[in-house]
Order: sequence, then structure tokens, then C-alpha cells
Amino acid sequence: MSDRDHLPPEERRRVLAERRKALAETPVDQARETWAVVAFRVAGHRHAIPAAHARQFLEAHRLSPLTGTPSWMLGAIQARARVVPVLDLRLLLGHTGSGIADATCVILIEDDEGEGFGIAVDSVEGHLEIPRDALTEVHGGGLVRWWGPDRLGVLEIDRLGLDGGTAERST
Amino acid sequence: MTTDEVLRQVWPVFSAEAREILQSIGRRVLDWEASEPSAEAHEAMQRDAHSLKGMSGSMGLEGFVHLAHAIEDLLVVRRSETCIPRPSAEAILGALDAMETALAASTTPGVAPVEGQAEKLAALRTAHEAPATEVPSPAAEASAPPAAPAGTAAPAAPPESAPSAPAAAPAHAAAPAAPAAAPPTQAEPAPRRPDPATAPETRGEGSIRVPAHTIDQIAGYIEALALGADAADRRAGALLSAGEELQATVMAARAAGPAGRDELLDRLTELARGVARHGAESRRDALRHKLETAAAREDLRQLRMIPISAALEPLRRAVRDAANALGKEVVLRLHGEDLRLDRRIVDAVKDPLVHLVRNAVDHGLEPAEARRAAGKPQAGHIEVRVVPRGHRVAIQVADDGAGLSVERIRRRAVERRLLGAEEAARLAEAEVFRLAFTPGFSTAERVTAISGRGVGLDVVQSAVTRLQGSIEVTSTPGKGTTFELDLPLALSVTLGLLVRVDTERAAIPAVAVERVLRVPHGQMGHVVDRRVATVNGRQLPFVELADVLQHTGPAAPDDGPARTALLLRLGGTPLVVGVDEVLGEREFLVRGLGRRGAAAPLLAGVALLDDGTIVSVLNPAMILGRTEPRAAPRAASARIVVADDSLTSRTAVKTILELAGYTVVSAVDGEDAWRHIARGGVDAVVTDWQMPRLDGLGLVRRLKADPAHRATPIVLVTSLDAPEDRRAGLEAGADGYVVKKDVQSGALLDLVRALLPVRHG
Repeated sequence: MSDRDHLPPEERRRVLAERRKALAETPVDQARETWAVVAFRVAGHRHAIPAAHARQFLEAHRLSPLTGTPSWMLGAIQARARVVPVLDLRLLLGHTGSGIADATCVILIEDDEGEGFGIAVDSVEGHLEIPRDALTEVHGGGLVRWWGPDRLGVLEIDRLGLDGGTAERST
Repeated sequence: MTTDEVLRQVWPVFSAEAREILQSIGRRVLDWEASEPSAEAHEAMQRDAHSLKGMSGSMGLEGFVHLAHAIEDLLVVRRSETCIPRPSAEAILGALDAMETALAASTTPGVAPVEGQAEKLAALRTAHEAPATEVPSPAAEASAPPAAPAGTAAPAAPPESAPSAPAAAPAHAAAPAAPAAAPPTQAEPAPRRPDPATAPETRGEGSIRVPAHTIDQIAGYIEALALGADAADRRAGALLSAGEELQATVMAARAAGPAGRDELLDRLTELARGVARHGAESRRDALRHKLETAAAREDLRQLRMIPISAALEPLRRAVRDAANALGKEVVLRLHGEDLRLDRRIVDAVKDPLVHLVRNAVDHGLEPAEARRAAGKPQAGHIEVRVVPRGHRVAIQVADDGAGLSVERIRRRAVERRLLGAEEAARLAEAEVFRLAFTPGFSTAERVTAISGRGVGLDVVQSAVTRLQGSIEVTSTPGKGTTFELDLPLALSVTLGLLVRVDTERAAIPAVAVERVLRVPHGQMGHVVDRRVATVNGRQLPFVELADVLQHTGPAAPDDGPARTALLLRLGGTPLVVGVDEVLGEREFLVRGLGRRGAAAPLLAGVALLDDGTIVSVLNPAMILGRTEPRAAPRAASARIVVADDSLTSRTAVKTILELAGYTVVSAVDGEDAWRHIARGGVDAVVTDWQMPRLDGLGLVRRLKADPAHRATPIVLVTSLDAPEDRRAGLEAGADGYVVKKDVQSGALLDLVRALLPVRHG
């Protein structure tokens, strides 16, 4: 138990709130100021998501297509006890080509609300630690929120599949 | 565990418990407005407030602590009152609401700021300091019903009363509680309140609070178990056959020949017997597992079911508040609250029910004078009745008000260009009522804070549709209106039909499938531009499931002399849906896809099949809604003015356009046409050339010269077919030119369609 428990309630609340805010905002490694992400490739482009959100890596052939869904929803996949929708990142990001054909892996993501969904990717590069100052923030509301070294587009998890799925142009 | 993690784990438990306490106090306060609580009830209220204070303190929620403390004080001070004074009730309810809102809005464990906390506290303190009111004597009440109905502060209240107590307001959601004083017409008992002598003074039912997420997980594991049981059964079958094969081989070997083999063969025989035994045992295990999982599924389904009272309780408050705000007296009666439904349905049906009762208070019930004049009791009655119907449930919201005016709805529909006047006149009453569910539709003359913006009913309908239900309204002018919602009891395990469309599969809940049919091609056809199929002599709308799904595969292959189809119905008109193949009946556990599932409104969810694949479970209400021409909000049909001095020609063109769905206004010549155009709301003009007063060319010129109407497309239809005429017409500004003999062949329609912008519903 830390010192925090001996603080007066107001003070403790403030510290806890600040800490929660900091944790909620970015996956920052406080000691080394780097970001932990999982990098992957989609249609020849390099992208990444914050590592804290990537829960599982599944084989794409386990994906079941679903009828009556928008084109950017490839289907659904079963992961442990859940069935979650799988999104076609190519369509969502506005890259050419779409469909299950080249995807080999589905990354299972858990968003801030605890809900799961998958993204179909062509290949997974793996975990990367990116120094914070190597990241440039992108404004303008697209799905790519930060640019990292070597044209790595780090994605905004919470908007994936929730903004109507219109194709986005990643600059 | 760190403090953070503890907080994160404890928070949902605190939140749920706090909300239960808030609702419990609220219920008792509402009851207290109508009648004196028992000693136990008083104890319970104070205990609840006290617990709330303690719990909130340990979570560090200072705001809650102060409010709970003030509530506790107020409860003590007012304890002796037969009916809690209005300012006190308002102050407490206001504080409870604010805390409930804070909890609902909280996104971080341990953080739930109360909006307007200072005002709520002030209101509580003011109510605390107000002098105790006198309990009005029955005599005083009988003589002046509008003045001080039991339970409210006297109208000439001391100036420091909370501003929310309107002076002399007779409005009261609960019926006047002193039966002896009630005027003879108000003999109805107050809304259901627990008899203090017999009602259990417990908050819940001794149930365990389990986070919904846990239930989902358990359901998932059990589902996996069920699949495991199936797999084991298959294995067992395989083992049994292997055993049999071994036996057979052995016998063949025996039959074949000499020495030494015999020992080997004995061994083989034993092995074979062993395999067979394992197989049989596996099969028995599998059967047991199947029974166990079926029982677990059933228990789980029960865990999901909660009494619908959770959705009905908020109605008391909604009616009370609406009635107060409008100065009406309303009695609300609830029936069937004990019926248990899937928690998700109960949660989802709360808001629609609140909309409906608010509507009823606002628009359904007439003001007191009108009611008196009609010989009705002064207090309006609203009844919410929950009726089980097998695997489904009906919820009726009925008022005894003025009823829906069919004529007003018809008129409003024409005004809002949803239909042409003739079409509106032709609609059957039931269909007229259904118009009321169109978004933005409201016959209210004025928008009140309660309703009237026309937002309510279509929201109710979409909420009900999402739950795989339907809603109908019936009404008798002068007598009242009843809305009936039809809903499933549970969203979970559904019996469904698995069908194939091209290479894809989908599941449709069996409850909506009346029959599986084979429709001979000869009995399929078109009426105008809609497809129909004749079933049992009745012409029904037809649609291909592939089209509903916007399936982009090849068109339906020719599957012989008849098309396989499903007869879908959920109350209302049935729909015939063509499919390629019906694969069988299954029981599905329908799962949601989370928030991202909202992007696929056609799906009620997905289901996991035995073979491990996942299929879409379609929402039949959405399929029916998509294709029923009247039920879905219609695109406003375009208004076209047809000008021709010849009745025959005019009628011919009018008919062609009306069959295509347009609304047509006739004009006998150019001037007549211009009169209509100038009035506005005209989307296109089709005009003859040679007419008295103002001819076609003149009309074209006048139209194009007027900035207000320049953009309106105008088509010249004429028997003159010479290139120079055509040129003259187009030079004058006509957007198109059609020769009369070409009208019948569709040239006019094509042109009109091309010129009018496509409208989206």
C-alpha cells in the first residue's frame, strides 16, 4: 500500500483523478517516455495501435463472413468467450483493395468501453517502443492520430467502426 | 491490488447499490405524497438515506454525503406529516435525480460530480426550515378541491416555499388521497401503493447483484461447453463406428485362414470391444452434458430476466411531473409489473414507455373543463398493462382522453406532403394511425416542453423495432387511445430458420416466420413497380432477401417452376421473402456485436452454429419495415402540375404520372397552371403547347423569367412534332419536349424521372 492511502480524502481523490486521467490518455512508459504499440501492415501501409488495446492475435481463416452488414465489416470471429465484428481496415482507411483475400491475421482489440472488435491485417510486425518525441500528432479527425518514424500511422481506436465506416483518406 | 484497482472493482457495486437506494427512497417519497407511510416505511427511508451517506463517504463522494445528510434531516423533520409537503418532496426528489444523473454520467470510478449541487442543498435546507403545514381537514378539502389537495403545501404558502410549488395548482400525479373528501366522480383508488401491513419492506428480492459483463462471460463459456458436448457426441459416434469396423475386419481375418493369427485376432477382438465400450460411455457422457448445459442455459436465462416493474416505476414520476407541469390531474394505474422479461428489453423499453405516457398526459388527456363537459371524471386515467402472450408480451398504454383524430392526421399528412390528398382519403384508419409514427410528424398545434415536437413516436417505434417488436395504435374519438407494444420475452435463445442466399447464410427468428412456401412463378408479378406474390388467393408484397441484404452476387438462379420463400409476419401485413434454400430450424443464442453492431441495423445479432461458423441473425421487424411501403417514412412524392385544355389528354398524362407515384395537380390552361405554380410547392410542370389564355410556350417563358420558379423543370408535351417547334420550345427554356404519341411508351416518365432530383426517405 502506498503513501496515497494516508492522504486526506480530498487530496487522495485529486491524486487518483490525475493519475487516472494520465493513464487514460496515453500509453506512456513513464520511465522512458516511449510509447508501446503493435505495428502491422495493411495494403502495403504501416500502421499501429497502442499495445494496451491489442488483446489477441487470431488467424484470419477463422473469420466468418456476415450477410447484411456494411462493406467495411468483414464478418465476425470467435475469440475465447466472445463473438466480435471484424473490420476491413483497407476500406476504413481508404487504401485500395479490400476483402479477406490478403489478410492473414485478425488483431483482437479491446476499446475503452471494454468492447471487443477485430481488425484484419496483412501481417503483424510486432511490438514497438516509439520515443514520444518521434511522434507527430495529426489533427483533422481522421483515423490516423499520430505519425511515427518510417511512415507509421498510429490509429485512433475508439473511432474505428463507430463513425459510420466511411472511407478515410490517410494523408 | 493498488487503490486504483480496488476502486475500479468496487465502483460498479457501489454504483448499482446507490442507484437502488435512490430509487427506493424516491418510491417511498412518491407514496408519501399520497398517504401516510407506516413506521417501517419511515425507518426504511431514513435507513436508506443514512446508508447512502455512509457508502458515499467511503467512496469519497463529498457531494453525495452532503445531499444524503440533508435528505436524512428533512425526512426526520417531516416525519409526523401525514403527507409530505410539496416543497420537501420536490427538494428530495430533485436531489435524488441529481445524484442518479451524476452516477449515470460518471465515466471514472470514484468521480461523480453532482450538477447543481448547491441549489439542491439549498432547496433541501429551505424545505427543512419551512414551518410544518397543517393537514387539511377533510371538510376543507371537500369544499375546495382546486385549492389544497391533500399533500401539497397550502397555496398561500409562506414566501420561502420553493419556487417549484405553483400556487393553487390542483395538479397531482397521484389521485387525491383522502378518499372521504374526494368528489364523487373520483372514486378511483390512487395508483398502486404497497399496503403497509403486508408489503415487504425489502429493497430487492434477495437477489445477488452480478455485473452484466459476468453474465455474458458465463454465457460464452456455457456455449463453448455446449459445442464441446456436440463435438464429444460426434467423437463417440466415430469411435463406435471404428469399433464396428474393427470387428468386421477381425471376422474377415478369421474367416481367411490358419494358425498364430488367432492370438492376434483375440487381442484385436478385445480391442474392438474396448473401443465399442468407450464409444458407448462417451455417448452417455455427451448426453449428460447436453442435459446439464440445457439446465445451465435455462438458469442463465432466468438470471437475465427481471420484473418489468423496473421499467414501469419511472412512469409514476413521469406522469406526476408532466401532470404538474400542465396543470392536469392524472391517475396512473399499472398492471402486470411482476412479469419477468430479459433485462435488456426492460432497459430498452423504459424510454419509449415514458414517451408514451407523457404524450398521453399532454395530448391524449383533455383539460379538466373539456372532460367535465364530456361527462368524464376530472382526473384523466392512464393505464399501463403488461400482458403475457406465450413467448411474447404485450404492453398496453391506454388513456381515456379525446382519442386520435383520424381527420387531423390525414390533413397533417397531406400538409407535410407525405401523401397526396386523394391518397390520404383512401387510407384505412389503421394505416392513418400508423402515419403518426413518421419522424417529425405531429398534429400538436403547439410544442410544449413535454412533447409536441413530434420526436416521440418515431423514436418509440425504432426502439421497439430494434427489440424485434412492433407497435400498434387504436383509438376511439372521445373515448381514448391505446398503444400496444408487442415484444419478445427474451432476446437470448431464439428458435430460428437458417436460410441460404447465394453462397451466404442467414438466420431468421422463427417467431416471425408464419410459413415456408414455394411460390410458382406464375403467381408472382408486379403491381405498378412493386413485386407481389399471390398466396392462397391473396396478393401480398414480395421481396428477394438478396435485395434486402443488398447482396451483390449473381441474380437468383432459376430454381425450377417455383421460388422458395418465407411468409414473414409480425402482426400487420405479411411479406413474402424469396430465398434460395431453407437449411433447417435451429436454436440460436443470439449475441450482440456491441456498439459497432449498430452499423448493421438489419441484424438482431449473430449466432454461433454447431460447426463453429457464425451467421447473421436478421431482425424481422427491420425486413418488414424496409419493404412495407406505408410503414416506413415515405419520401415526399413530387408534385407535378399537368396543364392541358383537353380533358382526355390531361387525364391520360395524369394517370401515367400518378401510377408512377407522383402527386398530380390539374390545370386547364397556362394561367391556371401558373396560379398553382405561384402558390408554391410544385416540383415539375408538364404542359401542352396549344391552350387558350396562356399557351405552353408562354408558360415556359413566364416560368423561366421568374427567379422564384426558374429552377422548376417544365416539359412540353405536344402533338406538334417539327424540329423548328422543338427548337422553339427548348429555346424558350423548356427542360424537355415530348411528342404526344411518345407519351404512352414511357418517354414522358423517363424525362420526368430524369429531371426530378431523387428524393431519399
